[in-house]
Amino acid sequence: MWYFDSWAVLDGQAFVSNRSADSIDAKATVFLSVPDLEPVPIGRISTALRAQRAGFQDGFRSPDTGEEFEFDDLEQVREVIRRAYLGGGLAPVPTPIEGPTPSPFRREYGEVPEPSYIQNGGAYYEEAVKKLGVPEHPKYIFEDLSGLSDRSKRKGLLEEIHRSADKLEPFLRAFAEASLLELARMNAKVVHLPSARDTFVCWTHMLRCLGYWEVEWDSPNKLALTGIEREIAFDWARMHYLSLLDKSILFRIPCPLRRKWSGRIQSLGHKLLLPLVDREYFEMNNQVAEVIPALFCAMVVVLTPELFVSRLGLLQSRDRYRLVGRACEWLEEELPKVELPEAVESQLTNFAWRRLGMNRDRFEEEEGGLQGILVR
Amino acid sequence: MNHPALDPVYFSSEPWGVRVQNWLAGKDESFLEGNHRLVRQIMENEESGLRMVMNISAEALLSFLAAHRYYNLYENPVIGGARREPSEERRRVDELLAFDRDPSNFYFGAVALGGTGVRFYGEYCMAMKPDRVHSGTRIFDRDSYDLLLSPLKDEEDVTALAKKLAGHWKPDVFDMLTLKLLPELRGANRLITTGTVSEMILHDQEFVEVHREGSIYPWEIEEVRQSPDEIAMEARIQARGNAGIPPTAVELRWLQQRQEVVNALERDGIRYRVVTLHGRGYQWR
Repeated sequence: MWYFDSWAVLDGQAFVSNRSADSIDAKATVFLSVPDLEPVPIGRISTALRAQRAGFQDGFRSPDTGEEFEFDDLEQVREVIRRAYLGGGLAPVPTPIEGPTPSPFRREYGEVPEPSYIQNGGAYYEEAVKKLGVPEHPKYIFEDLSGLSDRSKRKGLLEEIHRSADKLEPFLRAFAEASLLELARMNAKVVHLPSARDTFVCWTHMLRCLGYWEVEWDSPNKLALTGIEREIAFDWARMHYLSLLDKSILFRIPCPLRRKWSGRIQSLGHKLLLPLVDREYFEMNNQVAEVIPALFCAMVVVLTPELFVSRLGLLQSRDRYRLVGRACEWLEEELPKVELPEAVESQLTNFAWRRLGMNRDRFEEEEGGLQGILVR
Repeated sequence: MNHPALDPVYFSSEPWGVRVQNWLAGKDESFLEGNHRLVRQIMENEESGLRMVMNISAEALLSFLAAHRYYNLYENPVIGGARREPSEERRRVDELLAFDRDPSNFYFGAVALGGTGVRFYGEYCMAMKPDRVHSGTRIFDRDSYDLLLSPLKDEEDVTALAKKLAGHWKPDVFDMLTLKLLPELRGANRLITTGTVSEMILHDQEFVEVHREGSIYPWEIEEVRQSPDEIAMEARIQARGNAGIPPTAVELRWLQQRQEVVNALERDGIRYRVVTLHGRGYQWR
């Protein structure tokens, strides 16, 4: 059996040995590290034990009994390291309470523009979901998508979702628009700063490539932005020089929050990570509107220039199906897929939600902030 | 079972300098003396010479920079539970190293000449400013946990053996390393290079351990180094993405975490470089 010797959980690195519980008499010791998680043989277990002096956790044990968790093979071990590493990403990035004094040359001068008033993205999505209801499907899949938590049903369900891309389009669009509103709203006071502008330009471009933001200067807009945000969205010079398909942007875009979602979810990245770590996530979040964020984020991840959604009506529908298909394929690969001992599953679930709980609660912070006006 | 005896010159109670002289005595090799001189010269140069290095992973480095001091993120496990009793191995190593003060106040590093430290313990290698490593800092000639394994653990008096393998930064570090290097240079027919010395000082999991007492602060860090391997991997993931192969979720988080580290190092004005294994060749920001 395999046991964890030392584990840097938040960094996705671990030493594991083929041995008996609580023994250092190892038949084999290997080191696994993200991003590839390929086992590297280590000649001696002392290297693994010494890692606890270099900021690694001492093993992986049951909190109830103190006994070591055991694993049948390295595939299980890899899955545990992978999901715990992803779960680690649900907490805030450590930042100093007080940073160093900024250089005087970095001081901002000039007038700060008046922030625009923009609708809350979560409320926008909530409203859209209410209007859209539940899409019809001959197999009633949209009534209950909890099967996504079940490894045996997942693939078939994702294939159905792929085949139903047209029915899901209004939901995906609503969530995409909500994300733009939320980004604009959350950054309203800092949107004049270069980093916020970069993020804004990258995100509007991303939505354009996904086919969810067709706004042109003169066209009748479905979702229009006013004020400075509109100017920034069309900052072509900035757009030209930015790395526009940076997928890690998911961790910088605030997640539009429905009222029943956890206020601790900060970014779209968090909304994507939760179902990848918590095996039972879709059992609780089984409605179509709850699955959309993960599907939408997966579309962002898989997007490449060849998958851009065309602006030509003739091609658009096929392009959307293709993109949703690739996103489903990615989710099939990334959702929890290796069977683990129940006690380990429950540790991973608790860990994910505990990490998420380290974030500030956006609802508490924004008491009364859910109202707003629709910027049309 | 009887084990072959350990080398009496290396594993002796003599000071490390005497052990070097004893080892050299009677060895009449044309290049050995010249190489010995070169090794010393390379190591002893204060500006480009030896450093205490500590490898650290991304999240730990971010926490270190945020908290302004080094601490063990995993003092209590972040996932799962703790042992019911302290690890017997850890207690044994502490006992053998005979820390006269609270062992938890000692931070473990390695001695290095350039390079990126012990990769297994984290992809970022923090090199301490030389003046922040006190001359009385304790050193140990190998991974101290090797004391738990054969053949060292089978010695009759492991405590005495551990004492023989220990020393202090000054005066022992040069002699300890010289004795580590010289046997490798026997039979050489050419003069040694800095790159070779660097690799022999710290290679893979083979290093001289440093036990620094007291916390470590960001202003004591001379620079943070990383290996081109990670940079290449980063570039490869991005290139694959451009070629239509999407990143995995792990790759996505990994790239994001690495970007956070760059932001934090820039924010705190800490020099960071990419260096090749032996600390020579390409070096870039």
